[in-house]
Amino acid sequence: MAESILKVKDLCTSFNTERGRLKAIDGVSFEVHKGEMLGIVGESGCGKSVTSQSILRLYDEKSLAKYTGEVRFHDSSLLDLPEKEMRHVRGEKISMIFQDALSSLNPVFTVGNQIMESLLIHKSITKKEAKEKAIQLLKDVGIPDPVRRFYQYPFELSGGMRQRVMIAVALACEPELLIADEPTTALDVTIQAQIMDLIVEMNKRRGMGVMLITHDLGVVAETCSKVIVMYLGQIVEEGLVTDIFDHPMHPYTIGLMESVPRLDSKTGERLHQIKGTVPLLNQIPEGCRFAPRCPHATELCRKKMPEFLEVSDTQKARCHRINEI
Amino acid sequence: MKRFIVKRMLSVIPVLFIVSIVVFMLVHLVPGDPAAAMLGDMASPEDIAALHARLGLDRPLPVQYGIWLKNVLTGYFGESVANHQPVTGMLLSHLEPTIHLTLLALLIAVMVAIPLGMIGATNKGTAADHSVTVISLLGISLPGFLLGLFLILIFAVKLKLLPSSGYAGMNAGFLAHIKSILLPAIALGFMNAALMMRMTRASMLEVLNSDYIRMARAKGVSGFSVITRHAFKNTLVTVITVISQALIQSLSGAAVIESLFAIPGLGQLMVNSIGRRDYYVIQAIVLLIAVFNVVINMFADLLYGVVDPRVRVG
Ligand SMILES: Nc1ncnc2c1ncn2[C@@H]1O[C@H](COP(=O)(O)OP(=O)(O)O)[C@@H](O)[C@H]1O
Ligand code: SF4
Ligand SMILES: [Mg+2]
Repeated sequence: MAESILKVKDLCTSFNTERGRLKAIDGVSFEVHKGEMLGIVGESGCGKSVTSQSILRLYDEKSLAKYTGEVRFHDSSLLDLPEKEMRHVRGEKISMIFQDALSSLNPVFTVGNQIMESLLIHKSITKKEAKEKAIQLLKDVGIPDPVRRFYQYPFELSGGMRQRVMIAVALACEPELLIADEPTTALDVTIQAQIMDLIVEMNKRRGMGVMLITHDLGVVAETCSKVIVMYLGQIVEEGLVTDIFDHPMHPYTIGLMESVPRLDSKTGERLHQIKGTVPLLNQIPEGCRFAPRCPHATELCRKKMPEFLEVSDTQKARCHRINEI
Repeated sequence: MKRFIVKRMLSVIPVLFIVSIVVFMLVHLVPGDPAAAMLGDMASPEDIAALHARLGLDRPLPVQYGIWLKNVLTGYFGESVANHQPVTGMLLSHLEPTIHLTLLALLIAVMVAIPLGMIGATNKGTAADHSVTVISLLGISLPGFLLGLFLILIFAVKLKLLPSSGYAGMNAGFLAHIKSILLPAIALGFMNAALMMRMTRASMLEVLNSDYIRMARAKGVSGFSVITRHAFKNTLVTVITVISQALIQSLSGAAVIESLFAIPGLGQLMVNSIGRRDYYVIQAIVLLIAVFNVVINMFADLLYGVVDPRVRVG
């Protein structure tokens, strides 16, 4: 197995809110290896974005967020790094791309300016070299006429083009790990496929690790080797793509799988939905967090939190009734 | 960019046209022969007839407007009804105090308000932020003349550092000049500063919560650079708006402060002219302030375009 680059252990992130301190993620642990593509799935509000942004410590620690646990990147413990050193991890070693490129690119700076900025912060190169590199990057991410685009502003580009620009910004310093938080959700289907192809290509060609957050299970099945399923701030199941898709163990994962529209489904057949919605952070149930929505819930489930146990060498799940379902 | 500038500059022409018609009509509602009123009882009938002809008062209204407009554009606003002097000369002698007072007030407001607003936003919820909020609330609720009185009591009467009233022109020396308008400028600037602070803080907060700020942090941009480069340029549009509004506000709102501090500015001239029913002076001041207003807004629009590329094309 390839070398491990990121090791997250018992990560908890809590936020200061009007309703007091709320834990958005609670004891999340996983690992990403060199060149690996890890999928993170779960409904909206399950803590996928908080997990990924906590790795880079993007939440303000003065007044908003508190992190505990361990985030180990190679030999450095990111949660303990001083802000100054943390800045050299962000954008240089670990990069991130977000869902909405229009709002994620600064509207008042040119595309070229925003790509060059990463380079000028992290590499000791001249402006001229940075400019050449930026144009090359625009070309690499498949943007035609890169010299002209270099001088344009984000609002002058199409949605797919902007997403490519954001990827160019993220890849500028050739990071070892790319965190992609729903990188294609805001795009239409054909563009989605092109952007995913681009990410996969960068993953293959550069051996860059990728954490892919998405609620498109089809994309995960096609691109990732491992999957993490999150529910309400915890990992409820993890395994190889084959494990999760061929024999999901956790009732939540099973519910997610059943709500995927199938190509072979007869027209008019109603999609299976998990009943209810993800609770808010101040309404986290006791015992198994999924119990209020789980068709298999028992008294035990409502009282006692299930442990995260191995089902096989490669698969783990957090459920009392794995053996019965 | 050139097209944008030309377009914006041309767009003020219709506005100025409407303003001029309204201001022109203002005086036309006044009864009596304006020429006779302007020249007074001692004038000879020939002089009155000559001014009558110069103002085109026996011509139809549209022609009169044309003559008036031509007079105004060449700097002739008629004669004062009260002292039979040319209005233009009166305006000019009152213009300098107001402009200097307004600019100093604006400078004070900008230098205090913008940094404080940014500090408030970047330290949201801390003691520093609460102090900023309290100061700005105070500034908004405290009337300018009251603050002016306090300032006079403290700095002129008690500490004897600055004159309590009166105006020293530039010819009295730069320091004496600034000293004479410092207290009124603080009184005038504080209220604007309060508003500016609130707007800057609110706009900065919104920007700091935006996705591109998160993206900038994820790129490894330092906290300082995030605020001064990424966030500040995006709050500039708001800052330009509040500065231009503050400028207009203090130009037209200086009258009370000018009266309190006995500054012989436009505001004082306006107040006195209203008392004397000196219509042509009133007309000229109204026109001047309206034109300032339009021009300041036009400049603000041009600056939006400089700051925000989306405005340039839109
Ligand atoms: N800045 C924040 N302050 C308070 N609560 C937050 C903040 N960001 C996210 N949360 C909460 O954390 C939980 C997880 O959110 P998120 O990670 O965004 O979910 P998703 O899996 O859809 O990405 C949600 O309940 C959300 O309301
Ligand atoms: S522990 Fe119980 S409630 Fe939770 S998922 Fe398993 S069966 Fe459902
Ligand atoms: Mg999310």
